[in-house]
Amino acid sequence: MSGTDKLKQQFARWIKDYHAPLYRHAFWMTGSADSAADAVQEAFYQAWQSIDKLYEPDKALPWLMTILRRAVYREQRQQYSQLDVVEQLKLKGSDTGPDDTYSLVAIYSVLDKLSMQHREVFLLFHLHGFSYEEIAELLEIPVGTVMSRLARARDALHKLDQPQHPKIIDFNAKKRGHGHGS
Amino acid sequence: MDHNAKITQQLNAPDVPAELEQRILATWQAQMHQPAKSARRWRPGLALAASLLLASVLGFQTLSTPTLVEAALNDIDKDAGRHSGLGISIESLVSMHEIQAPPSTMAIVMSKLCTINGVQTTHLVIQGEQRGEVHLFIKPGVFERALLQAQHGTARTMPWQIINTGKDLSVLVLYSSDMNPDTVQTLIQQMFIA
Repeated sequence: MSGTDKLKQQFARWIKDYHAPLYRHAFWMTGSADSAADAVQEAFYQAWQSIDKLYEPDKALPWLMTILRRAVYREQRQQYSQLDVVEQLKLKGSDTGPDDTYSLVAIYSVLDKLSMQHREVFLLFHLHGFSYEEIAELLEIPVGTVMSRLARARDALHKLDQPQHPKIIDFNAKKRGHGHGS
Repeated sequence: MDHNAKITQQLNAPDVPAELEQRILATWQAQMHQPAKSARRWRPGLALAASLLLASVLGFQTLSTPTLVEAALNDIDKDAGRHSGLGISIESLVSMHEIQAPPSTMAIVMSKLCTINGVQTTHLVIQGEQRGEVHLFIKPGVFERALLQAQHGTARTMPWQIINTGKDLSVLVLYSSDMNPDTVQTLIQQMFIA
């Protein structure tokens, strides 16, 4: 098999393996299914155009992510909060039962309030499993900045785990044998 | 399941469009097959049909604009004033869709892949020689009837129409009100019919 054939085989595999995680990343970044699909398609298009610039094929995903970032920022919507994506997420539903703390809509609404930069770091860590160092290299920022942005994003998401209202201490709960808090 | 694991699980929840992988593969296949193929045969019958259809657009208003056309207009508004250049080269366009380049007096100022109302298209913006612009949303195959209550009309001051080129290719054409309809007809004829 020639080098070109091997490269084509490899690129086809990257499309198969990475189109889904790239789509989900773009979805959470843009808040739009259509924009996410466009961004991923453009990313693979641009990736093939510049395939000769990929020097480490085993780092294809970070490389594709770099290209996707440019496409995503182009697709960035004027208004991030879009009624259509909220409706899509509601239709998707949640497996958390009556407690909607971790519902897709709740997560979306928290991510919506973050800047693109904070959201991006959060997704690279939690959605793709990149390390601090890998994220720093991909975004060309210091590791310390990665950590602080991640901490900020996690702090916002962590509030999902907390009661949304002031805690009312039920002095009778203990007597009835009920605990409070989580 | 702990907090972080739950978050990760939910981040992976959004469904990926079933046809996305195939669309990416199809675009890549077309990208690899450059340069352009040979010129198409002249088919005057289709040209006449296209021109008659274009002529009938003037003065005809639909009662309601199809959702596909609304989505296209939203995309046009989103990109207004920031034409992002040729995301797809002329050679790729010609190869992907088996079309001809526009007349030399008109320039493609933007080309990009664009999904409107869940339909994948290639969106081209072509500027008139002196004024106005034409937007083409090109799709292999036909636009689903469910997305279109009509085949032509005017919406937000832009005349629009659907062209079925007879080559398993459909085009949603929208043009600014200051474009000469005859110029649009010539453009479509040269790019898709000739």
